[in-house]
Order: sequence, then structure tokens, then C-alpha cells
Amino acid sequence: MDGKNVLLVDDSDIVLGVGKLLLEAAGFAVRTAQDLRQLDAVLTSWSPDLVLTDVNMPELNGQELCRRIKAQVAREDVPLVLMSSLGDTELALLAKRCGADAWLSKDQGLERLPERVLALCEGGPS
Amino acid sequence: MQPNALPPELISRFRAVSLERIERIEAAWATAIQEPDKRHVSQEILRDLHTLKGDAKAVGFAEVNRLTHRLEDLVVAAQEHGFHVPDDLDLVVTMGLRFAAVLMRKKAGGALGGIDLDGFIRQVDEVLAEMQRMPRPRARTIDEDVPLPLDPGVTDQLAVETLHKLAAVATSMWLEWRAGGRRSSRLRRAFDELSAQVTRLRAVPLGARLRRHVHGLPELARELGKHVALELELGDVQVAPAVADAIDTAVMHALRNAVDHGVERPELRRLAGKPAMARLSVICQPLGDELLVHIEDDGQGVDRERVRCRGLELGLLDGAAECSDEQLLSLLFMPGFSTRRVVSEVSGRGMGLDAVRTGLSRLGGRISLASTPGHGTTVTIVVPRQWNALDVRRLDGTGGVVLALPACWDVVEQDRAAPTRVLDPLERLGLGTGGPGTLLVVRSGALELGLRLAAQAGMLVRAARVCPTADDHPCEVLRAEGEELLLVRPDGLELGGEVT
Repeated sequence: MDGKNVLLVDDSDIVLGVGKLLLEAAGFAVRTAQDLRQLDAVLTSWSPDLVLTDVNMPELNGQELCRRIKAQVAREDVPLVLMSSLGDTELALLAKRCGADAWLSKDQGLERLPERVLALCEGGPS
Repeated sequence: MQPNALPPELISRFRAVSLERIERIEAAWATAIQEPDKRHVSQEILRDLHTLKGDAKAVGFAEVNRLTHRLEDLVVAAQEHGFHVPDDLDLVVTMGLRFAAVLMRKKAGGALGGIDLDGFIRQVDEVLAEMQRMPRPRARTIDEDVPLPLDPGVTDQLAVETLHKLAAVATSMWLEWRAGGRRSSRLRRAFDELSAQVTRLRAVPLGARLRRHVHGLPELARELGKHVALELELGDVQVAPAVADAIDTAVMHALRNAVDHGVERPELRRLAGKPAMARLSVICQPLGDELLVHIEDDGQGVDRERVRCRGLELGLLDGAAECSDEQLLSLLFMPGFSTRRVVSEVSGRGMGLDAVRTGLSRLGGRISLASTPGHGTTVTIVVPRQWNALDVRRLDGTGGVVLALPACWDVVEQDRAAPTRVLDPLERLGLGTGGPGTLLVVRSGALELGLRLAAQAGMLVRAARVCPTADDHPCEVLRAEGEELLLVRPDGLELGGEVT
């Protein structure tokens, strides 16, 4: 999976720190954005293969955030994955409403994050 | 990753951030209990709890995670009762937050240090059950649509907006140069320099965008039982993001078409005396103001006979008439054209090349295809390198005129059915637009008035931006690759006096 670019969007720098560590250990190239300014800055000069985003940021709700990321990435084939500690049912519903391609629950911890991302990059089941 | 494997500085950061967060939640909780009107405070509490829960899980503080989850339930229950809550609930929330702070200070996975977490959680559950039995003061559950008291668009996008403004300045400068009869070469040089800098600020390396195909394409080919290797010869070309997107989409479609239609299966390639592994390449070639991108394959080339049959079938060709090779190949770019009867996973949906061509033409680019039977196909994309020197948005107007509006202008779109009174100033200039929406350009400083009038007229506001002001002519004709764009400037539009 060398060279696959993963963008992590979360308002918590703790989650970003752990997620980045785990994904980089698995060979992904990871960039993070903690707010909209950072998101814009990252996307101006870097193009992700997959975007993992929290559903809520202080500035925007999940739907607006997804719309914004989709517009900025401007490519349909970049999977957008919602990542949250909401319950599975709630998250699945929200993912559908936001037009996200998949979702990951943070409730099980982040240990399994790299293998889920790997599966998603390969177009496997979410 | 085990909590112990995390760097200690990340754990200390988690502790510091979370203790601060708990203090904030405690203060907000006190406010919510004392002043139930301040509903937005509960949103802040829930957001902080939610983040705390996620962080705790991420760094392996399972007890904090478990506790926070219950605290969320308690706050939601309080919210459902408009924060008119029994003392019991207030007490468990306050205690829960204190416990969380204590748990935060101990090592992840370490002993609980005298806290009976299970006992406490049982207590929480009892309080929650009691809340369930209480009548709700208002028939209102948590309303997801409650607007947050935050103003999006204030804190974000500073850099991006500055860039937009610079692009707007460049557009104004260009308009001034045109209005002045194109005489000032110094103004023109200043514009060229400014637009070059703006373009450079926005530029992205094309290689980074296209590199993913090097891995993706062979995988795709394998699914179809074919072997391909992709080479990129891109140099260090930098282009505007929109150009990169258009090129990327075009390259993706061309490569997929090549793998699906062009490249033969290994056994057929061997029979034809070719190596089993097909070679595909994407070559980038800057040429003056334009950028050429060639997508080449060494497959079987376009099957002319099949294209001819399909063209006849769709009524795109006249059976009796002769048709040149060029005309035949141009059919591949027709909407809905595909020689595939069965839609394959990879391409063959008959929308690829047509959509690609439309996308490119928006940027003033074009696409062509050359193919030698038995030897392969080359798709060539041509895009202008500095297309965005003028930052405009395109809109189809009446009578085949395409309007180009500086992207920085206030634009109000109107529903077709709504009264056209507000549109008078535009129509006087012959700029009334047809199409699915109607356009209103609002003078700088008149945005509020424009929006008010638009609302009165039942208009739908799609975009609103600040426009630059200048005098003289209201519009300029801009030629772009075989079509005329009418570049409109709002300065001639006297909106206020006309309509009220």
C-alpha cells in the first residue's frame, strides 16, 4: 500500500495523532486536517486517495463537511469515509445522508483502522 | 496498537487536552442547569464529551471511554427535559466528570485506584431509568436540525479567500487593460505577472495526481485477465487544480478504455507477436501556452468495423454515404456511444469520452484520438496551461451567447417562474439569460439590496460574492478556443434606482 494517500480529518489532535501513527506504520502516506483552514491548505497542494473524516467539526456539521470535501477533492473515485464514535445504526444512516462511501466506528478503537483502510483502498467491503 | 506502544508525548497531550475539556464541560453544565434557556451550551457539552470519548478510545483509556459514554446519555436525558433535572442527575454528572478526571491521571489499562466504576455506572443507569419515567416538559427530543450558534465561513478559508481576491484583482486589471483600448503594455505586463503568480499559488503537481494509476491500472487489468504496465513521463509539470482534475478524469477514462477495449488478452498478444504484457504510457509535453498529454497503448487499435456498425445502429451514420476515418473515430466521442453490448465493470457505459470532452472544453481544452489497427491507440488531450488567469464562471445565455462572469461577483440566480422585474437592468444590456436559472449580477455594495429584492421576487440565491468596481463598459467579449465568452462587468448595472 506504499504511496496511497490518506487524508484524516478530525477536530481532535489526539485521534489524528493516533490514526496517523497507525496508518503510517502500515505504509500509508498520511496528512491530517484539524479544521477547515488546514483542510483547504492540504487539499490545495495534495491529492488524497481516500478521505477519513469525523462527522462533526466545530465549524461544520457532517453533511456540510462531506459536501465540502467532495467539492474540493473534485473526484468521484476518492472514497469518503465517515469515522465517528456514534452508534453503528446512526452512523450508517448519517453516511447515507452525507453521501459518504463508507463508515468506520471509532467505538472499537483505532487498532483495526489500517486494515479497514486497506480494504477500502482496494475497493473491498466497508 | 497497544496504549503502551503510543509515544508518551501523545499520552501527555491527551491528558492535558482532556483535563481542560472536563473543566470546560463542568462549567458549561453548571450554566445549562442554572440557565436552561442557553440551549446551545448543551451542544458544546455534547461535542466535548463526544471528542473526549473518541480520544479516550483512541489512546486506550477504556474506562474513561465507558464513563464518557454514560455521561453523554445523561446530558441527552437532561436536554430532553429542558435541563429541568432532579438533583440526582446533576450529582451523577458532576461525580462522573470528577471520576473521569481521576481516571485520566492514571496509566492506561492500570488499576482503578479505589474507584468503583461498575457501581457508579449502575447508579447512572438507575438515574437514567428514572428520567425515562418522568414526563417530558416539551414534546421535543434532540433536534438534529437545531442550528448551531456558530457562524461557518467566518473562521475558515482565509488563505483561499485571499487567493480568490487576488484572482479578482487580476480580472479587474485585465478589464481595465481592455477598456483602455489595450494600449498600456505596462498594465498588461502587470496583469500577466499577477495572473502568473496566482496560477502558481494554486498549482498542483500533475504527477502526484496521476501516479495512483500506476498501481490501480494493472490491478484493474488483472480483473479482466490482461497484463499491463503503465509508465508516466510527466516531468515536473504544475497545473491549476481544476486543470489537474480535468486531465486526471480524461486520463482515467482513456486508460480504462485502453484496458477494456484496446489491450488484447495475453494469448492473443502472443499470437500477434507482441509481448504478453501490454505497455501503456502517459506522456506530458508542454508546448507554448498549452499542455499536451498523450495516453498511448500498444493494443489492437479501434475496431473500425464495429464502430461503423454501432454508428449505423444508432443512426449516427448514413449507410450509403462514405465516411472518412476521422469522421468514424469522432463517433467515439458522441454521447451514449459504446460498442460494448454488455456494460463492463471497467468502461463501456458509453458516457466516458463524451463527458471527458465536455469537461475539457469547459477549460478551453480538447481531446482527439488516433489509432492504427493492430498497433494501438493514442488519445491526446490539449489544455491551456494558464486557463485560470481570468477567474470567471460560465453561464449559458440566450442566443448562443456564453456569459463569463468574474468569479468574484455577486450572482443571484432566479427561478424561471419568478417575476423578471429585478432582471430589467440586465435585460436592458441584452444579458437576460435563459436556461434553467436566470442570473442577476449585483453591483458591489448593493448586495443587501439585491438579496432583499431577490427574496421579494421569490428568487433562489445560489451564490453571493463581492464584486470589484470599475467604470466604463459593462461587458467585454472574450474569445476562447472557437467560442465567444461575453465577460460581463456589473458596473453598468444601476440596480437600486431602477427597481425599487
